[in-house]
Amino acid sequence: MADWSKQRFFEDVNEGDQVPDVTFNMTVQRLVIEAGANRDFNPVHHNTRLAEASGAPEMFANNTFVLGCWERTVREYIGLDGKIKKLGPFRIRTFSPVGEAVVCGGTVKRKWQEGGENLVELEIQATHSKGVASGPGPVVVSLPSKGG
Amino acid sequence: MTQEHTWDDLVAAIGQDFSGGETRTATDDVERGAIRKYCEPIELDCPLHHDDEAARQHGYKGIVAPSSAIHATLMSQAMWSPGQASRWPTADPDQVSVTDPSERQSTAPPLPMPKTNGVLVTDMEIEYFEPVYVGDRLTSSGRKIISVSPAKTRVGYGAFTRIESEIRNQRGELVARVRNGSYNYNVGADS
Repeated sequence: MADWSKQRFFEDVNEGDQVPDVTFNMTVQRLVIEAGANRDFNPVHHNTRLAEASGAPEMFANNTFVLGCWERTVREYIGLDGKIKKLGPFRIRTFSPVGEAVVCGGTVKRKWQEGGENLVELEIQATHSKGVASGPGPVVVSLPSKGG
Repeated sequence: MTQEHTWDDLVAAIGQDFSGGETRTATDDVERGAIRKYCEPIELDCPLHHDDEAARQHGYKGIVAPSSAIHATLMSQAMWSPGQASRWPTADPDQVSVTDPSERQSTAPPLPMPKTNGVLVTDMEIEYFEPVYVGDRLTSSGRKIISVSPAKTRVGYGAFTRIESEIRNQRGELVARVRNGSYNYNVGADS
């Protein structure tokens, strides 16, 4: 559970810092709940038989689900006053099927100031037992400064 | 009459818009419940997405939609609408919803590119501008070619292409700019 009372500031962040891992266990029910919320009814995301026929090992998470995993990982790092400015290029490397524990995390690649904003580029990726499932890819965020 | 195109034609079209002026508006306004349901499976408990007072304290007008929900979830179209034919005309358990022939077909012009028999979605990039609030209604427009790179790969010959679209709210404010990358190719081709 994230502690939303804490805010990370631009001055707190250094290149090479770790973005802590968040784990998402992929289950059939979770995929179905996500498909309903996201309105992605491609059967490869909820039907084992059709997923296997398409070449996947099992029904697997859709791209938006994986992006959502990235967003939660980033949001827990940047806190309530951080802003997500740009996401991607985001690449899916392999399926994230049910039965896998998808671990999403990353590192701080660079930080700079531009147009009055304190910008940070995070490099995010998600992995599971078969290797890298998505990314690594950039997410550009802004953070508040301790100087206001 | 279909004109035969080369990949050079698509390269020459970089910067042009092929939407034909078509826009696509989400079926529903952004709903509080839609945001909550989006957050459930990713267990995103950030107060900006469920607590109006907390969102206001952090500079927003009220709860905001998660960024990753904007381009697809909050742009989604109805699966079925009153007056349309059944999407599930048989009881085949694997049947995927079928399109009602009365539905409006796209009139967007085709991209000037060779015929292909394979496509891979390669990547996506989204820039975010204005926040999305409960009650907003989102509309997507544009189909601009940003880049084209013809290439031979292990699956065939084709071109990596990036197409840009924009999402705006009901006030016309730019919410997000989306760039979708794909590789259109002919399976096993060398050129």
